[in-house]
Amino acid sequence: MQDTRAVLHTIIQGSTVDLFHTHGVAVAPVSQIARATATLEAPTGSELLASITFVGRGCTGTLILSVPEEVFALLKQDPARPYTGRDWTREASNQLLGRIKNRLAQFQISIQSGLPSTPGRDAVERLRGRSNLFAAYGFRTLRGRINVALGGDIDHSMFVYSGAPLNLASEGDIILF
Amino acid sequence: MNERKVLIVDDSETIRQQVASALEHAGFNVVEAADGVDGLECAGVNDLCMVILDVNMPRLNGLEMLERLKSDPRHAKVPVLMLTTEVQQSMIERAKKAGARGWMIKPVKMDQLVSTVTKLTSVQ
Repeated sequence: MQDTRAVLHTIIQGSTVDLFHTHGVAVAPVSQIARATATLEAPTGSELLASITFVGRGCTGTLILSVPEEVFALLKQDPARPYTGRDWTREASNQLLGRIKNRLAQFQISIQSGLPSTPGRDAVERLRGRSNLFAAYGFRTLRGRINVALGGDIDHSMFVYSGAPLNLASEGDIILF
Repeated sequence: MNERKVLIVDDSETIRQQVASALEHAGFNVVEAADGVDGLECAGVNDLCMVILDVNMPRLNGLEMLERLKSDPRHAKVPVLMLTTEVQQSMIERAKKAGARGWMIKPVKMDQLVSTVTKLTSVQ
């Protein structure tokens, strides 16, 4: 029987590395902390924060993404059409949850995502104090540390691996009808 | 020559700016809306050659906007491309049934997006 917690950790870490790679930012996982001791680093005030909720059968919660301003500064932008770090981080949280969601589909876990938002520091502090923070991850970059945290509840017994091909499209695909 | 005007509807300013920048460099004019309600308003006052549409948005989501847009004879022939993180087959089928021309999964390379838009707008 597969260790579903290990599967979930692999999915979250792999999704984060892949996402930032597509945006031209090299990241490497530095830590993975199990539920019993999970802590979310206290916001320092200089990072960009975004959160997005999710809900599904046996699975509900919030994903929080924290990105240093210095990492956002690495992104290539059209100077004539710049976007803000806050909005970019919200969209990155949406794309990260999308990747996680698509990989969870192999395990018969179907989740719906909410709309991404920018949490205040007080909201992050509340999440840090919650007992059901089930995973927190750190990723090293050349310009500081990216953090991903998930809070909520997940029923690991709902994971049922399907070896059958799912015919799911993946990130970057363009399907023409 | 007719103006080639594309409407991008997405609640993310980042996506709107990235898409607009890429399409403008390719010679398109771009108008933007942040949700389905604004998108329908924008479609009503612009002569569009293409609509690019996010799915998850506040007020009116992209699939609902697509269905309303396609039920309006003025816009029935305007090609629509969906741009989203969603890969659920039921959503893709709903968009296809409503008349969308394609489904793109974020993040998409901008050169591929531009070539797809160019292809679909040149065969109208």
